[in-house]
Amino acid sequence: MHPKRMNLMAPASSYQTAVSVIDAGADEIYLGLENQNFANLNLSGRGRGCNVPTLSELEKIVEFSHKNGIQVDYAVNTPFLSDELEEIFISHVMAGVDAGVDALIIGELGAMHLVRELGITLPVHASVLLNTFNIGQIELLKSFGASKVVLPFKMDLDEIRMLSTSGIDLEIFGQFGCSNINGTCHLIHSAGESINLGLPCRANYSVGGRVHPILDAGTDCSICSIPDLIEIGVSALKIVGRGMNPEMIRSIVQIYRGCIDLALAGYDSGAIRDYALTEEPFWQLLCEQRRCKYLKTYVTDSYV
Amino acid sequence: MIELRTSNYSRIEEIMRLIEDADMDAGIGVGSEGCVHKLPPIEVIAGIPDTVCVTLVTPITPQKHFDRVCAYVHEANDLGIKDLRIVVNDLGILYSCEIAHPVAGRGIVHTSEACPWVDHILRDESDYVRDAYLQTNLNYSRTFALLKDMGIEGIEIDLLPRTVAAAKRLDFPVYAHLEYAVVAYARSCHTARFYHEKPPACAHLCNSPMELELRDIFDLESLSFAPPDIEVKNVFPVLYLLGNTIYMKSDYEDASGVDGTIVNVDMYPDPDILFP
Repeated sequence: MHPKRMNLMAPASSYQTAVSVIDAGADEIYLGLENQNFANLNLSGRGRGCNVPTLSELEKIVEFSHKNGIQVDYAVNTPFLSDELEEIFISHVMAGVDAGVDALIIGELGAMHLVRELGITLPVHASVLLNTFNIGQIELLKSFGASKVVLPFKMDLDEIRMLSTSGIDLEIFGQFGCSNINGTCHLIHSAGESINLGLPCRANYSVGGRVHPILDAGTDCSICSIPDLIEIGVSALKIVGRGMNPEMIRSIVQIYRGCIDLALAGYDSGAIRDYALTEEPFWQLLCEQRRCKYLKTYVTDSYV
Repeated sequence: MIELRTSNYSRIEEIMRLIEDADMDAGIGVGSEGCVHKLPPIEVIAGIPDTVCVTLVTPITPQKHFDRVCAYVHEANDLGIKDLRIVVNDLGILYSCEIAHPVAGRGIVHTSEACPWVDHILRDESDYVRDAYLQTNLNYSRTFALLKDMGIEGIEIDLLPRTVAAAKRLDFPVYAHLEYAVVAYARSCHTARFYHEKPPACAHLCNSPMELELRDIFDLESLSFAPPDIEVKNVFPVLYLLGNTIYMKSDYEDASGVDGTIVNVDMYPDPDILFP
């Protein structure tokens, strides 16, 4: 039976940002930890600068979170592992486990198998980087001991509803969104580059005689779908942004907190939207762009 | 052996002629790695002459198409085509469907080298880390064992130098895609949006690739467009878009030691370019 509540999950990359998003209303936080074996890469699915800098800071975050009843999910969701990196990965995972994190986010099948073999009993969440689009893969991940699956950015409500009967918790993305399938995308950015690649999937390209942002990442939004997502039984709504401006993330978390609380109090999507527009006028710009993740738009119409 | 692959089924006769005219040890592949709407009708597979080996490529499969694709795979299996090779790009399909001789496609087998600027990303890492990353995800023995347990009998990779070298170390059948390496798949189809079309009505729009040349980066500081500087221009290649799949070109040609090569014929609207 799914709970008729939906946690708001927010990113943190330092003690300060953790306190900020918890204060703004997050029910859960997720974070990675820097690792000195790498110059720019990491095992957290993000590069340098997007992760908590030190183990002692992670411990401080866990302590503060638990005092406030907040769960800490530890992102060890590297989409790539190798025999040579396994020992480093084990140490990295154990650092989080020893710091008291509440769940592991894992992005690689072999890593999921390894964690179970190590006897770690923490809940394992299957990362978005595993590209779990269907019930077949959910069954596979359940057989590996996953207790929650993070669904890909581009799923429609009917599909989420179908998957909600699979007996596993579902987490989906609320704000922002990659345009490509995460676990297959090699347009790597925010991984410690020393050159300014920007966001390749949001760039302008010369194509077919036009200049066009054909790869179409954008500021996707899901506030109008919150009542439906709660009704379906989605267990967590995730805000991305481990590498983003902390003030912006705080403000987004605040808006989503208010919207979820209104939905839980029985307000409809129109009232929820009005609230967001009143609280944060820049939301009007998002509405005008019609980038509603779980409604019918030109983007969702293009789903294969 | 070389496989000529297409998801434009009006080209099958042309491909068969190419194979006959060139007197090649060649097979034919049909299907798509990324788009469920490009699966060939079953009668297309059944109609391919039994003088050539046939490969069926099944795509990454969103839930709303899952039952249909599972049924389709079973139907294809039941055709009784000798040595039919089924390439699977979705772990859910691999786990759920009974497939006689599955090969893991590029939707499942990844390589860091498919990042156009991988050497920049790895520039400051130790040799140990760099070497560890420049492999396929199946070079991790746990992942490889899991996929073998799920029945895979071969893998497909991009013909990129360090990827090929790593894949050969697996001591497992390896099939390499010539010239075009997959950079990303998308569910929200870039081609459909560009032409203001909706799948599946757009299927005719991706029978040949579009070239994407970087014009302006989207700068994350200013949240606005800016011209790329020379360093970015140096690492950012022309991208190629075919349907919902983004490719980059590779001029690496050494396929020695792999068990087969694959040419995506749809990337070459003019067949004379393929076999002049």
